[in-house]
Amino acid sequence: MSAHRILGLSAGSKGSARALLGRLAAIRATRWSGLALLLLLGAALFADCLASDLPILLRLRGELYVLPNMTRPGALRPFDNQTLAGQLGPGDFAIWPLVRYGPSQTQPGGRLDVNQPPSSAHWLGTDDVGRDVFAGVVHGARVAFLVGLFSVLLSVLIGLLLGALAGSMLGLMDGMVTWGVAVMTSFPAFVLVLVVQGLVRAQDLWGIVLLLGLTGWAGVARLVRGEVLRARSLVHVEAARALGASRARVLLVHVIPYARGPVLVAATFGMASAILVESGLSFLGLGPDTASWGRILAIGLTNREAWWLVLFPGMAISATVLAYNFFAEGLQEALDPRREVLPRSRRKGAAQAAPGRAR
Amino acid sequence: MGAGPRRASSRPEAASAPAPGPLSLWRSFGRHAPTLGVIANRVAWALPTLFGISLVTFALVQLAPGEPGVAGQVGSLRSDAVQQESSERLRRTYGFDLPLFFNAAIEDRGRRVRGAIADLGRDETSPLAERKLLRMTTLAVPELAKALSGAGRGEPRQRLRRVLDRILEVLRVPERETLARGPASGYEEWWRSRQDRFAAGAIRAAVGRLRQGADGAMAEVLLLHQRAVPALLESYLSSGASDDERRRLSQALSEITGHVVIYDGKAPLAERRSALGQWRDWWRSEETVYQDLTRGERLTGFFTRTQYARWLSRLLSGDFGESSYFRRRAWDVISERLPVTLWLNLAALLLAYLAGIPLGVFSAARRGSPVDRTIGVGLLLLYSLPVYWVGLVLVTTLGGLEGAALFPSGGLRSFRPEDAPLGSAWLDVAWHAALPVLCLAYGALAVVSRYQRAGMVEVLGQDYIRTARSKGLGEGRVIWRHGLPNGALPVINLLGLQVPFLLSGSVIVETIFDLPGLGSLALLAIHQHDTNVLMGLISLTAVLTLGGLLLADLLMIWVDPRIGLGRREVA
Repeated sequence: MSAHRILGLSAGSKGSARALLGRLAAIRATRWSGLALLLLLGAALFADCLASDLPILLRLRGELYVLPNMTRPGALRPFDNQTLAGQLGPGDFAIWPLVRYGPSQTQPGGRLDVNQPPSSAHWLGTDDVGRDVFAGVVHGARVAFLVGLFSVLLSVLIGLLLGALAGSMLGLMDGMVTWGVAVMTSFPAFVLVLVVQGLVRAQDLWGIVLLLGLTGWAGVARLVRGEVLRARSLVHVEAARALGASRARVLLVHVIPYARGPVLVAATFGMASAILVESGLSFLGLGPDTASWGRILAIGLTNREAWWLVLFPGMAISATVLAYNFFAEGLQEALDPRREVLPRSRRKGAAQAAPGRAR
Repeated sequence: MGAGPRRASSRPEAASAPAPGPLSLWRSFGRHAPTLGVIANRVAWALPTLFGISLVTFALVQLAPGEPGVAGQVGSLRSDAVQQESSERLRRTYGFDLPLFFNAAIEDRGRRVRGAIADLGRDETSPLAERKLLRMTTLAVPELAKALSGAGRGEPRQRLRRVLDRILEVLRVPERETLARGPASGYEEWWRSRQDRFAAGAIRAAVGRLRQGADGAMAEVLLLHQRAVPALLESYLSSGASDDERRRLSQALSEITGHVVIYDGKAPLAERRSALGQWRDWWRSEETVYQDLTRGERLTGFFTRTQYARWLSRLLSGDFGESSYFRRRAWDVISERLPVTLWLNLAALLLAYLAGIPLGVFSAARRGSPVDRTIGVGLLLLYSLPVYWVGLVLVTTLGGLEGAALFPSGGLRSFRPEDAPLGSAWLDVAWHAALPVLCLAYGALAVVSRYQRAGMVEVLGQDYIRTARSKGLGEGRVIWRHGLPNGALPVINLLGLQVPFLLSGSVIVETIFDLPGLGSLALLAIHQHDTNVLMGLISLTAVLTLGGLLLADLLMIWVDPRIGLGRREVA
């Protein structure tokens, strides 16, 4: 590892971010996985426009509703898309979502369709209480995206803080952090999360995010500590120290940016495993009380002839996790300074798997 | 991050730290036995981690909602004092009355009695204090009698008299009537006159007579009442006690303490052990009610009579208490299911290494070719597939009712023996375990072969490989004989990281395939709020993981003597 990376990624300049994007776009796997991740982001952002039990925009008896599920929850209580269609008078209008079912709507228009295979009415079928699977998959994307992003943000924050403290202060602090990392990695991650969840029973999404964030920092802390220790002996850090920069400044300006690349890669891998853990929890019936891919799969475990309950959410999870993992690999490759020096076929070590956090 | 996969090791000192181990000095002396020093060093490193594991698990116990059993009493029709008392007993049973880490105010027998007598004087606390003292019977008599002699006239004296009178009623003391009518100091004199009966030696002799089944011994012990409990319990738990003796002692103990445990000599072994364990648990929580502590005991008690110390001592002796769901020792429940998980994981590990290493070597030998790239993508795909989905798909497509489908959909043995393939019990288990093992193995396989490829790529670029090629060796010999031994080092180190990975997968695989292992037990314990089993499980998995890391470390020292010499980060 040489000064290449520092130059390629020097603190926060716009040019380096663009250069990184260019490098990422040059790798085929990253192009595809990046596209898939954008799709996930789109589904997460626009879940209510893609599938909802209420219109996107509705004018009913002189009142205007914009995304009523988000802005005015409960205002249209007894109605759904199907019953509203008959209520529209002159001058009223509605912009319907792509699919006119919500993720937890059991009887659209008063009709109960249980365990329906995919059809033109329900594109991906319905589950054992009549919920539309397409709506569940779309809204599950939001859960997956949020859990992946925020739990990793939290654990990266904790890991960055502890790792930087350990690497820069050494002594007792270093010993404590090293010890904490060794202890945390002694627990199988999924088992730990499962047991803690079994004890505290976090019901909402943010509880799960907190849980995953607080248990997942050990890897990042170890990584950052290693990078900081290595950076200490680098020439430019020594120079900054000799010029009289304060300890905090050396750490923040000269050392932490050095660890940014590896942390970014680890965080992307981490998002994949966070999504896996969350769906795993939901699959075992211990997840958040929202529509989630794991929950639909769990219904498939008991209704074994309903193949659509297994196939579609499973494909969604696999594709998402795969996209994150591929993107992380591409990121690793793009951040590797040797990439520009060596021709494509001579690259070394590009294909290392991060040891799995959990499955 | 191109510094080789060995960086992924989770040894505490792995990240190029110059930190010397606690035993490095000793190691530098013993030049002729370097490996022993390194081994001792690594084992010593595991100790603080074990301590940390116990701390985390202890913190998890604190997370367990509420105080078990207490919630169930709310809204009962019993009086306040009864309810307060029973909740206090429950708190003591679970150790919730103790401080977490340091105990500055240890409550032993004398303090409890004096405290209760003081509480008796206050109107708002007197009902609870009265019940407490009544339950302590002979343990409280001397202090009560002394307090009565010194008490002023009126309400306090009446209360003390009432308590003493009712204690004597429980003990069926013949002098009760005369004492009740006599002067206040009469009780103290009465106690002094029978003090020698309550001496430690006399109590032990009475218990010994009861143990042998002597006539009238039961009545004699019942008269000693609570004062006899420590001696009774000691005899009961002693290994020499026969079933008949235990039955008699248990009867006396249940009678006196109101904590009823039935000891049946003809019951199965597990049940008899459970009965012993229940008394042991009980004594652990009630010990201080029966004994006075010396000054030294008080000093050590500052650390040992705490929730954490109790938890640690149980952990170290592998005793996790009673399972609330199975009504058996938690450790018995766990150890019964341990083999299933261990064998499944070992089989999966074997499969992953047997298939993963050749695949990685093959891929490395054709580095950069389309085949290599396809394998790389395929492995990442395999690594990304969630195990619960793969398991579900396998079960729905290949699994089915036994005898009718390619593979059974769950369980470890056929329901009807005639369904077993070729009538062999071994083949039957293998047939049932095939899909679960596959589910556990494929993720590990992906990681193994990627590590193998990375390690091999690094080795194949080295000079000695070029030498081997240039002296005319065949490519197969170069790769398998010269390359593999060095290229396999990362994979050996990886062995330690596989343990947590596999244990995590076990929870899901065992749920899908309905296997009686640790994973399905964990889920069951979560749903049944069986905290003791859960704590046992998580401690066990952490210790197994730590053991795996240690084993991988030692294996590395064995296969790579350079590490044994103390140069850990060899280029």
